[in-house]
Amino acid sequence: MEVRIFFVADVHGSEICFRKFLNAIKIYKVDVAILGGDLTGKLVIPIVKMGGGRYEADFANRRWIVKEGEELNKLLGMIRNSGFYPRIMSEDEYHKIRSDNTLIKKIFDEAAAEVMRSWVRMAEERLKNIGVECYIMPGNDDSKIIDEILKESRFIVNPDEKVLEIKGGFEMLSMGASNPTPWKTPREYTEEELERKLTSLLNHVKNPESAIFNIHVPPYETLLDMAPLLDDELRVVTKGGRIVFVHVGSKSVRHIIERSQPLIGLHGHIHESKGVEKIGRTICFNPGSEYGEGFLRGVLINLEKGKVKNYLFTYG
Amino acid sequence: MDALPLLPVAGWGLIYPYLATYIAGETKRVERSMLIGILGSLVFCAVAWWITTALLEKVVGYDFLVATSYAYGDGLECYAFPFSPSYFGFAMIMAPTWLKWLIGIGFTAWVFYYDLYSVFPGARILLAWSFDRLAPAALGDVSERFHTPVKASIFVGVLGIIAIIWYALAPAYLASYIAMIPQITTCFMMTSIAAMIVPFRKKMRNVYEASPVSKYKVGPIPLITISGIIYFILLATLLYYFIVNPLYGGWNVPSLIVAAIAYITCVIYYFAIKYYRKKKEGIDISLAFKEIPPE
Repeated sequence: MEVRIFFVADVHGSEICFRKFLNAIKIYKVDVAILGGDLTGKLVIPIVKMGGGRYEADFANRRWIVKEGEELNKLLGMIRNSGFYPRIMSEDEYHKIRSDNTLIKKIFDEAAAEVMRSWVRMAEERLKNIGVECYIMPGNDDSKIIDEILKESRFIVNPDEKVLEIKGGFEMLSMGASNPTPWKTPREYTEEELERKLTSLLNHVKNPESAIFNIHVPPYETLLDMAPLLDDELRVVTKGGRIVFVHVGSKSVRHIIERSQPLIGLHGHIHESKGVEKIGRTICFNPGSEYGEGFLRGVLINLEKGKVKNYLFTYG
Repeated sequence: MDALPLLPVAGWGLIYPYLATYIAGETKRVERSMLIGILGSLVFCAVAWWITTALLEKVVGYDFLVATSYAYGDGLECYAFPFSPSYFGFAMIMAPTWLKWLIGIGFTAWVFYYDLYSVFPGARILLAWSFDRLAPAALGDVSERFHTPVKASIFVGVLGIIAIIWYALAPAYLASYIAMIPQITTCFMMTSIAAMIVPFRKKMRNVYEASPVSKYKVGPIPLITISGIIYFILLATLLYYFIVNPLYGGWNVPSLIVAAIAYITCVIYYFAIKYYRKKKEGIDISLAFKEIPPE
């Protein structure tokens, strides 16, 4: 039996990318759709009410002053499509949040949860009756509130830190957390913890050679984990005028893949490292991400008789 | 205006710096390097060409050049040299032995240089094709040791050697198409049209406005649009004079057949590989860049 998987990662709250993900499932005639990590956006963009029907916001390196109605709606759309969360507020509220990190976090979590709920509803409406399995997994950048929202759905499955059997009888081992990053994101494990958790999950996999490893962070020292080197102040390091790239993937993930040699590895996390690489017999994929520009990057993989029949990177 | 019919001649020598853009992403200090590399190489080539032309005219005289070109072009019996009129041909007759060897080696090496600089863009194109499943996966391998697509580079290099042998042995009317003018002009005319319209395409608006190019305008007109228009006119003019002037030797039936074979082969290859991938492997490669609507 042939199974077509469509894998996307790192949409980071982009409304347009998520909608494209849902539509792509029908266009590509997919059997199993996997959204592998980093679902939520990175920032709240305050839009301050200035009075007289005018609103002001700082977005995309410029100051926007827009009128209520079409202009405001256009700005809201642009912000959402870039993966950020617009929040309309009064001047007093704006000054209050500027000095209150707890309040900022609360507003961010509320916005992320609201968008996530609307996505889950949208996915259920569009995909429920077309015979596709849909797995949406939080990644290291996603806070724990997302798990509860995904749990509410009777259609979407959150496979994080589980081994599940998907269409075609393939076992899928999933892990959304990453190894440590400079940003101390909500879901990080040390390499030792990650290795322990992955090994524990692996014990539930009956046939590793035909398994799918849906692990958000890519394996270390591959073409899939090259990211710009950052200094202590999180600025990109350049040498001779050129950005220095380093391997930032997980050594634990690499060990587990080398040891168990699954059929395929599905990874994200490093947006710039779109690519495919073999570790032994395992074909590992990272579709990359251009969520900020509104382009959906993904990879279609056809599996048949326990092997990879073909794959195709998509860009739409 | 009198010099316009010579555009294809200038194109043969000066059109190639665009190849540097294929490796721009791998270049240190790219803003500075590309500017110096592309403009600098154009200036260097133009100056070298001007100097050698001036020296040749000084040595043999303008009348000699015109007479030999006319005699060769019209197949007159009085032109008895075993080569077409060129400065290195005449130098081979007049020069001392050591200089003949130097000229011969230099001329031969120049042909292989063509192969070498085709490897840079060719290998990267094959890498992209491999990702899009238009080429075998092996051609998309990047060496962990050398950090370059070694297999694709060797493949392109070997194809280049075959092309060089063909160029040396094929009849002149077939080899004349190697001039590449119609291929380069038609290919980049499409690129220039894209440049003209990208700021106005609704689907590309987000991408264009996010790019650093969008801040450059001449009045209300985006600079990229103006660049596209200028480039299109230049390429169209170049192609026009290549077609209408029979002395370029490219616009004849055998040469056009060779050109047509090149384009038709690409079209056949695309549909053949698409059929193969769909039939045998179940993947429609046209999905690689299919636009996905958000609604």
